[in-house]
Amino acid sequence: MLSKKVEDVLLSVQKPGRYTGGELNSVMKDKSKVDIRYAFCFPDTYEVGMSHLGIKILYSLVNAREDAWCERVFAPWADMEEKMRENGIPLYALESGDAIADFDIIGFTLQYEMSYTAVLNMLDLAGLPVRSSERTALAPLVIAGGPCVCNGEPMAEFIDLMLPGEGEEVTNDLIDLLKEHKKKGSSKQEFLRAAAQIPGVYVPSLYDVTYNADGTVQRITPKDGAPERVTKRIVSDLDHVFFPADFIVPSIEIIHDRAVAEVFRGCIRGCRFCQAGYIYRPIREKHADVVNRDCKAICDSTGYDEVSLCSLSTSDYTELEPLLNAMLDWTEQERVNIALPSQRADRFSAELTQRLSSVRRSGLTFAPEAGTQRLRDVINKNITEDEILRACRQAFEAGWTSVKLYFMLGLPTETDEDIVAIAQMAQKVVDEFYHNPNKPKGKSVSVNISVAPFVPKPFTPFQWAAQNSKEELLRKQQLLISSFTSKKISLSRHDTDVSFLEGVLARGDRRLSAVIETAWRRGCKLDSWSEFFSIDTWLESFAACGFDPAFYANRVREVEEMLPWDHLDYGVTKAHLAREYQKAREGVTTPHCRVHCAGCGANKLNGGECDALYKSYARQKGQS
Amino acid sequence: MRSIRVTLAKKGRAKYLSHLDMQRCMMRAVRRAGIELWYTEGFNPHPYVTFALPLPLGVESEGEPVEIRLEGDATNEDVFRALSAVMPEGIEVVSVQDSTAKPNEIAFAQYQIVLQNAPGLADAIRQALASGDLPAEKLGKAGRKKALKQINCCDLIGSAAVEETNGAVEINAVLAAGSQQNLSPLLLLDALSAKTGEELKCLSVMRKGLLKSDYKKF
Ligand code: SF4
Repeated sequence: MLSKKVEDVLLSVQKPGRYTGGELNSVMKDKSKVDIRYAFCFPDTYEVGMSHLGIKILYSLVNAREDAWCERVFAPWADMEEKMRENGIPLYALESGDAIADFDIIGFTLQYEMSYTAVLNMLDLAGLPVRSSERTALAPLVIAGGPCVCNGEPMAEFIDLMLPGEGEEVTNDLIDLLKEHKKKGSSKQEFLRAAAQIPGVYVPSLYDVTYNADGTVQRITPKDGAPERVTKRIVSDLDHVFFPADFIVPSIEIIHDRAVAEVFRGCIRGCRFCQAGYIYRPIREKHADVVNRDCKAICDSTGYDEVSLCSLSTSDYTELEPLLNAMLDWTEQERVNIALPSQRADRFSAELTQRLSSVRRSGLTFAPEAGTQRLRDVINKNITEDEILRACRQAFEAGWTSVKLYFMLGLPTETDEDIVAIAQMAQKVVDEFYHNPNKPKGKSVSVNISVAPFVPKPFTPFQWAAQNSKEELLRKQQLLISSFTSKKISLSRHDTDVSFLEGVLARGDRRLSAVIETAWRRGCKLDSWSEFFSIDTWLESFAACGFDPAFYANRVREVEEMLPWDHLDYGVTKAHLAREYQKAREGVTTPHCRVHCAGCGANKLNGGECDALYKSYARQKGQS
Repeated sequence: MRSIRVTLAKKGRAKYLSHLDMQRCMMRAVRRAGIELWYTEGFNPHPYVTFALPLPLGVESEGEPVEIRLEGDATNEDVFRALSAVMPEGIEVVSVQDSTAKPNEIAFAQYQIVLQNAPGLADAIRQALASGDLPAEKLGKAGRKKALKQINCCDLIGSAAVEETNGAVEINAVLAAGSQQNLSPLLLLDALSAKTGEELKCLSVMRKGLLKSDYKKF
């Protein structure tokens, strides 16, 4: 429920629907009847946060418990923040309207590094000290999950406890434990020590980190019985894991406003730059009938007319064709659109293609990532120029007139030749269009090249590699632009300053907490929005704290170096990453997981099982 | 195919939804209710679910007519029951009837505006309304572009009564509404505030109903 104070300001801010709650399928409970109140915080705007699948899963999962109530909290936009501070409105949860400072758990999801200052700003708006050490009571406990906690070290001073890995099971374990300790009247310290014993719980304050004279990490030492290494939690059986039958239906427009179902976790591809491809291993598939049931349930309870299938590479799902056939049986009838990536559509049977052509496809996009086959081999991006050109030809024949191609700049071993080749590939796509004898009359083609600076990430084979400096990247962007040979080619590029900071924070250690706090105190709060991002403030903050950001971003690390995240175990072994790094430098590819298991080690998290292994085995057996 | 009119009340938190939000919300409600919709023919078929008159963000309503075109043999009673079961908080189905009038017949809307009282406020507002001159700036069409244009609110007021009731000033006004001429109650408040020099603290604005040009109910 909205407080009077909030009602008084809502009509003077943009999009008040962000702050009201009360959406369809949001969960109301009697707060006197629950033991644990959980504020699920997304450190970005409502529209961004509500588009995220993880929040929907965790929200329903916690609310399925009678003893807990999970509510949602998002970062207010600057206009609302100003009103809140002016009128003494603390950060509140959308369902109850209650101040989150009074909750038991405040849980952040860290999806990208650029949201770190928003976490601090939200804690501050809640009226809480940002530093973990200054919040001495057991409640509220500030926790974090999401991909960034694979190296959450830069946030170590602010977060009481992190959950590396998948949240479904560990969240319930944690709530059970907290409930017990709340009853006992334990101190925060007592609770944290006990929580560190739950597999998949990482308590940063229970680890001492020492540094060498050159600034690298010397040693990470656990204390008070915390484990030497924290292994991420995974869910073993996706067919039986909790998945919501309803989603909250936002009343205002959000970014991805549709039903989403998950088809598998992990990725078989092994692209060497891709963190998601490594940290979500091993591969676990959900059965088509379960996915189909999920999709139908969500569409029924929400009234959405679009459903998308979520995974890192949906076309690698082994049961994609049966799934689509089963879905089409009701989606056609109910006029629900299936949103599918357009790549690899050539893999489908003619009949399925025919049925799918009745549904709207998202834009034609490809991600070659690098301009030459040599560099694509280095990054293990398994797509050839011929494949791309063939797919474009088919698309042009089917009436498409625009294509978007994604590339990275600054990949390890990249030369100017690789960059010029990007422009050449774009030109070949343009030529494909004009070679099509049936091209639509009077229409021209548009080829958009999107280049993002490569950012090395933890738990990838390139975790040791150097990121290109800003100057180098700008030179490469210019070289690319000057290599374009057609007006039909356009360029979109990422901000190199943002990528630089992302790179620093991604591989940072816990000393960077001081820098993050300084930057936030100097006004950084929504760094993922260009209207608020200020590289100067950040650089000043690094200087003020006595750190050189280039040390984190632009330095080549030795494979022997102790990394700030070495005490976390995400399944994939360091030895495997080092092997892949070496093969990358030799330009040798690694076949994808269904051709051959590369022995990444992630299957040990699942009792030695990996669906990529099983499925490839089953396929071989079927063929012989 | 047949046309029905669903009348919706929009109250509480739902008042922060814009017209576009309401349209989307209604589409989804109709889908959840499993009502069999009529679709246009052609390459990109779409249903007909249309609000008679947009409601400004921040304004509540006792009755917003929505026209929906149906297939199948569901009765008005069936639709009422199915829709009522799936509406989100703050939006309530008041009635379902056969659709008879067309939105272009709307000429006025009745509003109840409640303001926090202040000494002499009611009289100041009465005088302002009686002055015949209440200038305001409105974003309107000028050819293809949008431009600010000057209007006199008094030209767009059908009637207005001002009353003092326990701590509040209540204005019951009939304002021009529809695609030809339209006066938002929020714009009227801005104009009143400028004219009286008072900072008006608005407690609520409620649309009570829509009228045709002969002042009969739409
Ligand atoms: S265990 Fe083998 S098959 Fe499974 S993800 Fe790792 S490398 Fe691929």
